[in-house]
Parts: sequence; structure tokens; C-alpha cells
Amino acid sequence: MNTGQMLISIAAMILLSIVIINVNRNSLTNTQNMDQTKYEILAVSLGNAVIHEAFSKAFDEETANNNIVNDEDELTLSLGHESGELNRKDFDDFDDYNYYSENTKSDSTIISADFNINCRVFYVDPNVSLDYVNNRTYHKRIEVSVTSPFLNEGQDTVKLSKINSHFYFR
Amino acid sequence: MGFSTLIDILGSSLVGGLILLILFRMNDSTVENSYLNSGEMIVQSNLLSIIELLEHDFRKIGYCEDYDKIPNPATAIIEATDTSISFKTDVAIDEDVQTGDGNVDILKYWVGSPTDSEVAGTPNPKDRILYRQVNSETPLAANLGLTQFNLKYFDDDGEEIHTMPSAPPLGIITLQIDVTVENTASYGDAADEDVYSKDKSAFWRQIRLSAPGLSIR
Repeated sequence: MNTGQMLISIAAMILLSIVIINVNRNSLTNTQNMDQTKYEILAVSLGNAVIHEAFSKAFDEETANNNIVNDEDELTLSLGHESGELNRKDFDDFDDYNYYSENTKSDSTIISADFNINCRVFYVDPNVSLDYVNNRTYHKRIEVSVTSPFLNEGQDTVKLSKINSHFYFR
Repeated sequence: MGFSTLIDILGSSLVGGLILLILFRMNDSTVENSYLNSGEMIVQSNLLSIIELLEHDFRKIGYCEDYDKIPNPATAIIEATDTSISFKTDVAIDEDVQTGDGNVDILKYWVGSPTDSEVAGTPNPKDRILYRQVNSETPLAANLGLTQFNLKYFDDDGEEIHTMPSAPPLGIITLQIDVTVENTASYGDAADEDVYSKDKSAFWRQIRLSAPGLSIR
């Protein structure tokens, strides 16, 4: 084999190596994306679970025992759980989830990844702002953020939000 | 033909063979990955389909277009076990008109067994059918690769209800649904259940669902 043939062979091998590396990289990227989607679905489900749970509770501490509130000023001004409500299952009203956080690492039923769940609850006024308002209204918004080291190496956050309005009928 | 030429031919054949082997392996790997990714996507979309259906129906527990016909939504859940549930609702008139017709319907969900004849032919030995029945109509069923469908029930205090009352109201305020979906027929199947498939890709989703009708506060 002369020098020219040797160079062509080396060039071909380099080309082949580049092709193989690119194919492998694409394959890994696809797999990673698929896995991440799976974790995102799970993150959405966990966030949804918290929101659904919060919605099953009373709108406010003042309405927790089927009390009827006739004035917005009768509602709780300070949002958060009351003393004695240490665990999530002790929460009895919607805004108890304000500043609630949880890591799923201790939950043996979640075997794939660990997620951090953080909640915030705000008063909102549809006529003023859906972000938050400082005064008491009949509308509260819960915002649940779910993060995980498995979601784009911890850089992505799944954020879910829903507004709960106080109503009484019949 | 000289000896060096023979060596050249043998050497180039060897190198060419190795390159061919690499290309075959690469092709095989690409095909496998393509199947695995497709399988993953099927599993994920199947799971979402199941969840969408369950969320749609379960959040309407105790709902009736004519609300006088279910005066006490707390009695809407008629029967509840860890793999089945039966409740009063008002099933949507059709896909376009999602409100009910004003008549109370009984909607029942339950899960079949992995040994049922409907799933006996699938390569996955663990998949089972999720049934949905409206009143006494023929149950509708779809094999979306469901391998787990567990229900847990919680009372007003958030405590799990282990023993159901014999008749409504059952005291259920929220329920938790655990769903696992696997591929019914995936790439690289094996007879051994433990190594059933490379893209077994089972994952579950948990919802603590609270139907608005069950807790009016």
C-alpha cells in the first residue's frame, strides 16, 4: 500500500468514525428526550395531585367548618397552615398549602426519580391581577412547582397553577 | 501475484469485513432504538389517554344536569373497591355536547385479569383490560397496555378508608388512582416474564382526585 492509498484509507476511517459517533449521539439524545418526557409526565401528575388535593379542602380557614363568609374581610389575611397542622394530611383549607414543600425521595412508591414539590398560594383579583393581590378576595391561586435533577439536569421546572373561587350554592 | 499482494488482499478483506460488521451493528442499533422510542411514545400516549378519560369521568362524580336528581352528591359513589368503582353521574350527550341529558347514569370502571382471553394473545403477560360501563350497556374495553389500576379512598380528614360502609354515603372525599402502562407488544420480547421486553418502560401516575360534587365547601 503506497502513501496515497494509506491516506485515503485513513480519511475513510475518520469519516466512518464521525458517522458512527453522530448516529450514536442522535440515538442517545432521542433516548434522553424520551426519558425526560416520562419524568415530565410524572412531574405533572404529582403537581396535579397536590392541586386536586388542595381543591378538596375548604376555601379558607374561616369556611372550614361549613361556615358561611359574607364579607371578604372575614377571610384569612395570612396564608399558610395553622399551628397544629404539621403534615399535609392535617391541612383543612386551601391556603394551608402556601409554602408547602415536599421531596418524594422518601416515598417508596415513586421508584424512578425524586421530585421536589413547592407550593405557593396567593389571593388574586380577576379585575386587577391574576398574579397576586395583597387584599383578601374570593379567589385564591395555587402555584405548584415541581423540579427534579432528572428534568434537564435540574434546569427545568414544571409549573402548574389553578385558581380556586369560593362559592356556595343551594 | 506476489506474496505482498496476497497479504494486501487478505488485510483489506479483514478491514472491510470489520467495517461491514460495524455498519451492520450500527444499523441494528438504529432500528432497535427506533422501535424503543416508538414503543415509549405509544406507552406515554396510551397512559395520557387513560388518564384523560379517568379525569374527565371522575371529576363529574355526583354531577347531573338536573341537579334535583342527585340532591346529595355525597351519596354519588355507590360501590368502591381497590380495582373498581361505580358512581352516579350524568354522562355527556355526545362529544360535542359535554353536558348530560338530565338523567342520572351509573358509570362503572373496573379492571380485568391478565389471564382474560382478550389479553391472552398479547406478548405482554401482565397487561389487562380497563372496562367502562354506562348503566347496563355493553361494557366498553380497550387494551392500552394497562398493567396496574389501583384505587385508594380518603375521607374528610385525609385518612384512607379501609372498610367501606355497606351503602352510600361511603364517606369518600378524595381518591387516589395508581396507573401503570406498559407496551402490549414491544421490541425484543422474551418468554421469561422478568425480561419481557427491553422497552418495558412501565411508569405510573398518581392522582389524588377530588370531584367537586363530593365536597361542597
